Amino acid sequence: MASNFKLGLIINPVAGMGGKVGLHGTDNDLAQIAISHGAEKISFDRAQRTISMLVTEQDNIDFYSPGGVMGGELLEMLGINFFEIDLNENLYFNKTNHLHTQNAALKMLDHKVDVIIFAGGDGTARDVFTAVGSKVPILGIPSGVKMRSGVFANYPEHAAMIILDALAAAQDGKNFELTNADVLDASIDSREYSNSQFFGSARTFKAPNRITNPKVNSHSNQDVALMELAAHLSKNLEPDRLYLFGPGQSAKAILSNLGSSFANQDQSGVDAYYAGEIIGQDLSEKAILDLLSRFDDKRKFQAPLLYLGVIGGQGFLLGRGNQQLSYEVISKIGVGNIYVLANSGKINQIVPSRLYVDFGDAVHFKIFSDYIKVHVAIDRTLVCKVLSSGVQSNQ
Amino acid sequence: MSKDGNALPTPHPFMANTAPGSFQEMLRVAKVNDIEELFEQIPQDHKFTGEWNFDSAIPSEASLYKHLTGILRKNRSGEENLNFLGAGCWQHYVPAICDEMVTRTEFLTPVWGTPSSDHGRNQVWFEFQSQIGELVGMEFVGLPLYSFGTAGGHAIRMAARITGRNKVIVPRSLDPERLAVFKTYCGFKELSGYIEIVYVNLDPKTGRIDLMDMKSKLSSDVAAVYFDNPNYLGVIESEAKELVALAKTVGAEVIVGVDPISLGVLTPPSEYGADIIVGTTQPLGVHMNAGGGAGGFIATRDDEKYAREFPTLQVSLTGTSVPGEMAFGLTLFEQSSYGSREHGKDWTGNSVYLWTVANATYMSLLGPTGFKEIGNTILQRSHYAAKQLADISGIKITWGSGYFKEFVVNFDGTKKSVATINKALLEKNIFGGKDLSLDFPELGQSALYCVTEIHTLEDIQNLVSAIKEVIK
Amino acid sequence: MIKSKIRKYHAPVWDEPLVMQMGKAGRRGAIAPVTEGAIASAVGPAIDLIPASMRRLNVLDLPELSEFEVQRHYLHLSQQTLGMMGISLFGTCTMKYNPRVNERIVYQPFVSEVHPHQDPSTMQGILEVVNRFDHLLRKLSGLDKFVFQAGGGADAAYTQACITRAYHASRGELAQRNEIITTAQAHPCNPATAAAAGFKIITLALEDDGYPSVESLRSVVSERTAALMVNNPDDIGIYNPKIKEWVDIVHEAGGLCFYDHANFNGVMTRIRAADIGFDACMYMLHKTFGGPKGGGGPAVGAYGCNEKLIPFLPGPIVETNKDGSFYLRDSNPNGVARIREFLGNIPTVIRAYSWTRSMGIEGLRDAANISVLANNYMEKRLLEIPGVTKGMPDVKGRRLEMTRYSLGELTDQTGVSCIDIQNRMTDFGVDAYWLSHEPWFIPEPFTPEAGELWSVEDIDYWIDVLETVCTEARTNPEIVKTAPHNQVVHKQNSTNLSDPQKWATTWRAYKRKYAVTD
Repeated sequence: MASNFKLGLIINPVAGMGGKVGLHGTDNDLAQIAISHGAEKISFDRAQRTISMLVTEQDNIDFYSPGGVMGGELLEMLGINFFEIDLNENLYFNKTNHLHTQNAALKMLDHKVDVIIFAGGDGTARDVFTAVGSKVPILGIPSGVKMRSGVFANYPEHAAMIILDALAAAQDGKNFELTNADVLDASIDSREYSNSQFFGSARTFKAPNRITNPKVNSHSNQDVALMELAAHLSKNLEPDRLYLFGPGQSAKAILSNLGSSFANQDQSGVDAYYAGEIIGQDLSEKAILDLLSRFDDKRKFQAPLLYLGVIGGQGFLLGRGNQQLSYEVISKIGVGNIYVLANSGKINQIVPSRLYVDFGDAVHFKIFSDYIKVHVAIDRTLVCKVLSSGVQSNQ
Repeated sequence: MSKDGNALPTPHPFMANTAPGSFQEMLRVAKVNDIEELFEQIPQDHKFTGEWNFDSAIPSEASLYKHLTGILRKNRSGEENLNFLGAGCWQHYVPAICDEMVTRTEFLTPVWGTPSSDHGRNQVWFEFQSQIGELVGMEFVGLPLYSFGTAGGHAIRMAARITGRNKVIVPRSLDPERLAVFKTYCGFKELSGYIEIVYVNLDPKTGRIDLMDMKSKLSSDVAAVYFDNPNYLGVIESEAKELVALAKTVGAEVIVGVDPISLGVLTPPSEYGADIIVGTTQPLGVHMNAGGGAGGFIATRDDEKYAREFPTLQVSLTGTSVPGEMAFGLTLFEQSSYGSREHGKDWTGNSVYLWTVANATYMSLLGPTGFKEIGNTILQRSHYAAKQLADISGIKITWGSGYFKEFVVNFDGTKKSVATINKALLEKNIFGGKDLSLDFPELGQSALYCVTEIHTLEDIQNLVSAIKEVIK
Repeated sequence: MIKSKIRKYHAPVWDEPLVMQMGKAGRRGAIAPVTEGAIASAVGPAIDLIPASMRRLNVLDLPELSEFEVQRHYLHLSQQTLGMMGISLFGTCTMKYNPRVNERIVYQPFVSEVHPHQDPSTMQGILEVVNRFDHLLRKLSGLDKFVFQAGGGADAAYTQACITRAYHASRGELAQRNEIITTAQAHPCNPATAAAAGFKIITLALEDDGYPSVESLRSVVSERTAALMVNNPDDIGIYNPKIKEWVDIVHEAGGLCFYDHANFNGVMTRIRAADIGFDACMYMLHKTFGGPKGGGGPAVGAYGCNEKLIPFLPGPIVETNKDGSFYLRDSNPNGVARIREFLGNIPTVIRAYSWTRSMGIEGLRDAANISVLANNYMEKRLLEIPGVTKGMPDVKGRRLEMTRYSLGELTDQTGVSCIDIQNRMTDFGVDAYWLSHEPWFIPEPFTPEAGELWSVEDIDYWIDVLETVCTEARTNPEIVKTAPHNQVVHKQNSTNLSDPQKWATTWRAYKRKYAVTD
């Protein structure tokens, strides 16, 4: 082997923090707000799940990373030697911004890394892509709120497996297979959930079972059957039941059928409805848990019901754009009280069948059974396989 | 006995690759040593290993022809017998050119194709739709359905979807064969999409739908009123306009079933307000084929309200990249079951598209004058036959006027059952009219006679004298 | 595998107008028999025989042509139909030879001029053929009775849905058993007909092996299960080896199992529906059994079932008397009365019986072997064409009589789509290939099926044409995107087809919308 495999690592330390508190990202000043709302650090833990699987190969990989919260801290903790990318400033947890990411990626180009692996969401992907374009393959460890770009592994463990495969290929003197993937991010002035703007085509690994499809914009695909289902469900809401509506068009379509005052809801948050009224909008994890406690008197209320969509082409049930629906929330609602609805065309594109659940850690994956019914029209369901986060879902 | 997998094929005229060499060449290129390798996906315990005990092969065409015709010559047909059976399948003359066209290999053997590959056949489809549209006076026509009954069944379901209601009114005089199909299409009350069938009586004096009874059956939950014109018992619903007006008072859709061969002389249902017109295509150049000539159509106004509920495929005239050139492509494909699986409008599949070739040829041959002429001939001959029969003592024509090609003959006065009479007629090489005594006991010992342009004066005289003898 | 010389081809172009645009007023193509004087004088003018309110007043706007003009017009249109005149490997439809002798047989009056209500004693020949063919299919399937009323494969699936209703209704369980389970790769007619019959539809998504898992089925089977409706192999050529377990699971829950045998050609003489445990199956006589397709029927979906379901079959049903003659029995009161009128498309039942007798069991075995071999032969050659990949490549094992391929790579690289290529291939006298049934999850799909009819030379030529067109996609993509060029007409404008202001399914609609005057 001529030289070692060169891997660049960038962690966006504030990525994903907005999810549970009901913010839709941590760009710009939102990180500050997230912290003040009690958000937890996410990307460090997720990156750890990936990098710890590479520890045994550290003799064959040269790591490149900025210091401190952007990667160095983690590598040091795992006892991995690395070449520090100097950004000429001290990096503090809540003081990094998109320029740091871009800078780090640019400098990695100078070192001719074989791949840049980053922990973050769509915003981070966009920053890395802005710096390196298609000059070097990039791979995301899913750690953001939204991950619609086609460069993210399904789970942190999958990112490690992709790297291990690429390493093995390199050691055999083979080229690992690359492909183009869309980099998408929310359009600048829209918080509308279903709107993604295309920023360009990055290079990433060809690993269809381990890399999430780019999210497909749902606008163009008017699904009459699904809209009929939403209308049907809206007519059958019961007065003694708390209803929660997850992000996205499908679940929100039920609400918009209730009348104009319910229409045009912000599609990106979790909303609550009870006895003819919206009783909460854009709820955080904590707010949902509080609501669930208020409604847990079984003599007065039926069990709450969660209407949940599926994230377009990505096939994510939980863990993308809806992190406020945390493990605690879902286990309190009960899996049996989740009603999944989605466009049949989109779900049918996911072959082999896979819907993903990612509670952000590798522990809480046992809650879902292996198969779930996705309602695609009145009296029509598709039965899909559910993969929950963690190494048990190696594919 | 079947051969085991490795045996080389026996040369057969239908299979080029049974010739020595071809099979081996394919094995070689596909890198197959043992043919069973190709079936590796199938578990051993799924495979049949028993004895077949199959009838031996007849690969020689001459022998096969002899075998088949030897069996089939046991049939008797309307060609060498005098046939007065109608009742949903009718013997009309099929012009030789119709048979020529439907047996053209170009039309006979292909599958759907595309506008690029099968332009000529797509044009025939369009000409079929256009000429049916002309006969019934409607602008939106789909490709044909399996039969008259299935066209009616789908039309009723269209009306239920359009109105969001679940009741259909049909006349008690409906063809039992067709009614059985409607019942299947209307479903079961335990399941979704069920449509209740309500029956409206016929006026025993006229054979037409009883308007008063219709009025009493109509309510705001009626999706559709269905009637045939002429009806199954041959009678022309001359109060069609009144029927339509009544149905409209409750907002029901009106579906009318027609025999298109009558439309050179009868008013098309579009002129008295029908919303959906269905009918048979068999009389238009297709042989009876023991019922295998069946075919149906659905036609409506060119209105999205209807068009978007069609279960069929249909071709539309469109242009090409060259100005002035015509092409024919499928429209509203996405609402078919091919386009939308279970989310589509009912379902479609292989239907009776080849018959469009016969139908289009037939309609082109007849033209406006031919349709009028054949209608007139049928009217005169059927009325003449009825008149002659009515003159026989013991026989009555139940409704003596206002019919097209079929009419009810009552034999109560002969003290003989229709079954007995028909059996005796059969010995005289006559297929008597369809026995109605089981399906319509209120009509007594009656038979539905069908007289068309194929029945000459002499044929009718033969029938009359045969019946006279039989009832003696 | 010598690359064949690409032949010069051009479709006949007659620039044929619509028949509605042809002819001259007063010209006649057919004259109806003249009413004899005795009749006319006895009944009077025809118009007086029609109730006044029901007389047609306006003149039909139909074409007026001479007999020869009509004949020539439709001959031109037949010549402008490529169909089977070149090479048609239209997958999922099993293009076969349709023996000409069958047309000679069924166009004789002893078939064509038989009326369905004739006394059964006068239809013994037809009933005998139906009975004989029923018995041949019983042997091939292991089932107990076949009927032929259904007018195609979808109609046979509908027959199953209706029999499922009648069966559970007879046991008082229909209200509870209202779910039919199928798979994403079952032909669309299965969920569509089951839905039309009023059932709820549960579709199992495909998993890594190319079919849904047993666990996925288990997760939805319950006391609500009415039936399972599946194809096997599916139309990608993948066989579900767990199918026996599937049938057991559904039976245990009290549901029925229907085998859509649309893809029977590759497995005939190897697989019998009854041996796998199915209650019923369907064969397409216009496809697997040599009947002509007619561009979409008249077709026959032969529906067969076991003893358990015989009481629910639609009538009229051919039965045998003690003396060996045949009679017609109507359906039972709690059975399915009719799916369609009468006995079904009898000429095609006769054709299928004739074809099957010509082949014999050895011929059927040879046909299955050749179909599967030819498909695997094609695969070797097709995958050598840059830009062509195999659908569901991770599913190992030899495919049966069909494989679905993807041109996705070629499209990514050249912008030329599978539909462009389909159009361009017709420029070489090769009929359009089949793309994919819904749902389309393989990008830019195409599905060829060689069957047993086409010679190795034909198959090679077909592949050579595809290769030529794929090369063009790289060297001269415009010629592919704007195809066809050697066909009867050029590339159709398809945007009009979905626009209510512009579509026209009849000439009268077209004339109004485009302000055409004759």
